[in-house]
Formats: sequence, C-alpha cells, structure tokens
Amino acid sequence: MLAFKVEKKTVLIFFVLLLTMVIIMSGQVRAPTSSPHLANAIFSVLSPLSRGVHSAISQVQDWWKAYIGLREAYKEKERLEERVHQLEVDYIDIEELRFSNKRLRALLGLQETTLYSSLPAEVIGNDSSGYFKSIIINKGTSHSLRPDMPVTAPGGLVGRVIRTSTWASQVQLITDINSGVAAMVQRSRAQGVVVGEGSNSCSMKYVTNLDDVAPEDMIITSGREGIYPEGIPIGRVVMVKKSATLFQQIRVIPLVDLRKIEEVLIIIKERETLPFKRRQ
Amino acid sequence: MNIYLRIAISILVALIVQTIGVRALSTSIVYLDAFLLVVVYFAAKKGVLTGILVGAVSGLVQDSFSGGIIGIHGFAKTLVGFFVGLLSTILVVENLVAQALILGLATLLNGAVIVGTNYLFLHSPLKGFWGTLSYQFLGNIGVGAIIFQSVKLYSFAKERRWTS
Repeated sequence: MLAFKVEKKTVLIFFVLLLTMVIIMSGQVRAPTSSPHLANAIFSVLSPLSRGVHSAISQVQDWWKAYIGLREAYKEKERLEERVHQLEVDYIDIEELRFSNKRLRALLGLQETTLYSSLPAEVIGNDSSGYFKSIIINKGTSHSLRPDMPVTAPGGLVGRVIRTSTWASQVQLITDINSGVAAMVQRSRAQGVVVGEGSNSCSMKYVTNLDDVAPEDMIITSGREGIYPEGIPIGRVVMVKKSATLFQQIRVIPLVDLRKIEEVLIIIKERETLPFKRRQ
Repeated sequence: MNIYLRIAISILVALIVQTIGVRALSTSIVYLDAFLLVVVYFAAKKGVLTGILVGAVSGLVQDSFSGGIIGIHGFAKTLVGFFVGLLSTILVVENLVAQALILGLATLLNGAVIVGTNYLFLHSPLKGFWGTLSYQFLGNIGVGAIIFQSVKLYSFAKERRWTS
C-alpha cells in the first residue's frame, strides 16, 4: 500500500489556501463586474514588466522590419501619396454629406448623435490562460481608462476593459465565455445577447423563433446593457437554426479577427452621455 | 541562488512567456501552460509545502492577467502543487517517463478543476475546452520534459565542474 507522508501543518496550509481562493471567487459571483483588489494590485505591479518586455521585443522587430522594408519604402511612399490625393477628394464629398445630414436631421427634428472620442492603444499581450479570451493593452488609468469602457477596432467591436493599472489595462474579448453584449440584427432589429463561445466565434442568444434572422445578417450593439454604445458592428451571422425551445440558435463570426489584433480604440466618452435618444 | 528568488524569477518568466511570448511567436492557440510547469517543477523538486505555495502564488498571478474569475487558477494550481508534491514522494521524479506522467496528470487535473470551478460559480460551460486541453496536454509534456531534462543536465555539469 502506498503511504504519503505529509505534515499536519502542510495539510492545514493547503486547506486554508483553498478556502481563501473559494472566498475570493465567491465575492465575484455576488458582484460579477468587480475585480478583487488583490488581483488589481498584482496586475498593477507586474504589468510594467509586460510593457517593458513588449517594448524591447517591438524595438527588435521594428529594426528588423526597417532593414527589410527599406527597399519597399520608396514605392510605398509613392503609392500612399496617390492614396492621400484620393482621400482628400473623398473627404470633400464626406464633408458635403455631413452638412446635408445635419440640415436634414434638423428638418426632421432628430437629435444630434453623440460623437465618441476614442483613444488608440497597442496590444501588448494575450490572456495568461488558454481557457479565457482577453488581451493586455498599453494604456491605463494615466490615460483616463476605467473598467467597462468599450473597446473597438477599425472593423468592429472588440470587447470591454475589465482591469486597469497606471500604464496597462486588460480587455475581455467578445469571444470570451463570460462576455455578453446586448445586440440586435441590423436589418430586422431583432434583439438578443451576443455571448462568447471561448473559441473564435460567438452565439446570439434569446432571439425568439418568430424573429427574422438570416445568414449574412449584420449584428450590431443595441446599447441596452449600458456599456456599449448603440450601432457598433459586432459580426455576421453564419448559421441560424430554429430550435425546439423558444429561441433560435445563431452563430456569429466577429468582424474583427481577434486572434491577430494589434491596435484597438477605446471609447473614452463619459458613460452618462452614452444613451442615444432618437427623437426629441 | 536563493529558492525564493528562483521561484519569483520562474513565475515572472512564465508570465512573460504566456502573455507576450505566445503573441510574439504569432501563435493563436496557447499550447503551453508555463505556470503549470513552474508549479510541477517546484512541487516535484521541493515537496508538498513548496508546491502548494508556488501553486497559490503563480495561480493568482495567472488570474490577474486572465479574463476568468479571479482565484480559479489559484485554486487549480494549489491542488496541482499538492498532488504533484504527494506523487513526488512515491515516484523517482528525475526519470523522464515519471516526469511525462506527472506533467500529463497535472495538465488534466488543472483543466478539470478550471472547467468544473467555472461551471460551479458562473454556470457557463467552457466551450473549446477539449481542444485547449489536448494542445496543453501535448505542449506541457513536450516542453516540460525538455526543460526538466535540460535543468537536470545543467545541474550535473555544474556539480562535475565543482568536484573536478
């Protein structure tokens, strides 16, 4: 028979540590949006290290890219100059449309849509566990970041800030299993909640069998949970299945490739101004 | 080098590997749980008490840089540290097969505790769990065995240099 020799003191420490972890976890179940001070402290102390190592790696990568890319730089410059001229022309058209839009909105009695100021940030790290989906960005409280701020990328929604330190923050991706975003189908305005699947896709829940949803439909935020502003594109429907229950099974692929994301935009407008009013 | 300093450096290296290293290598799936390797190494080498303490600390560090509930990795790694510490009292941990066995069991225990605890507290099943667990099972055994054998060879070489 196998005999394990463990001191009583060790067993006691083991159970005390397990109990401590259970208490820490229980606290979050009661208040899911709160992050324990201990975790915030560890994140604050160690995130500068991640930032420093990331900067060093980026510096080496930049040198290498500069060396390799030098030959292509001149060609690229000419191409970009051409593109700038084209964009200048487009900008004039957009300005014209903006003025028309403003005039027509005034005629129809619609309220001005709030414009959100955003802050760019660089992704410096991934989630430390393979089971959850989050990223670490190089902006923190010193740039006015707070938990629950929405994070986007040029393609669409990325997630929300869940933890901040002075110089870095952690962002929960919309593909994380614990993420939920109030959403709607852009075409039919059918409401639901987009939840992460832990892989690279999401599912849209609580859309009744009577609602009109089809593959290729665009899913956007509805703003009902008070975190994400309305109208941010989330993803496209790739699969719709009517089920025996009240709700349809809908699979959504995010517009942003969250595995390769390098830069993000954090919407930093005050939360009080978030609710959009359509009519006065 | 002082054991506490070695543990602290190991945990910091695991953090860098897990958050930045994986990203720098453009790997989309985490094939490795570097924190688990640190816990298994110190638990097997130094026993149960060191195992549970390293497990609790490294788990909390991992939690602080992860999107899951705080304490989930701390809980799992403390259990892993305890059981690997116990196993090390009956197995010859210098043996490659024993190391692979311990690493495999530790990965399975860690994964099972994470998925179970997440379901217990948040009622959300971890989708894609089996895929991640399979990759980590292979990655942890492969990389872990190479690291442990390299450390063993380094220690032998160092001892030989001192004695000669």
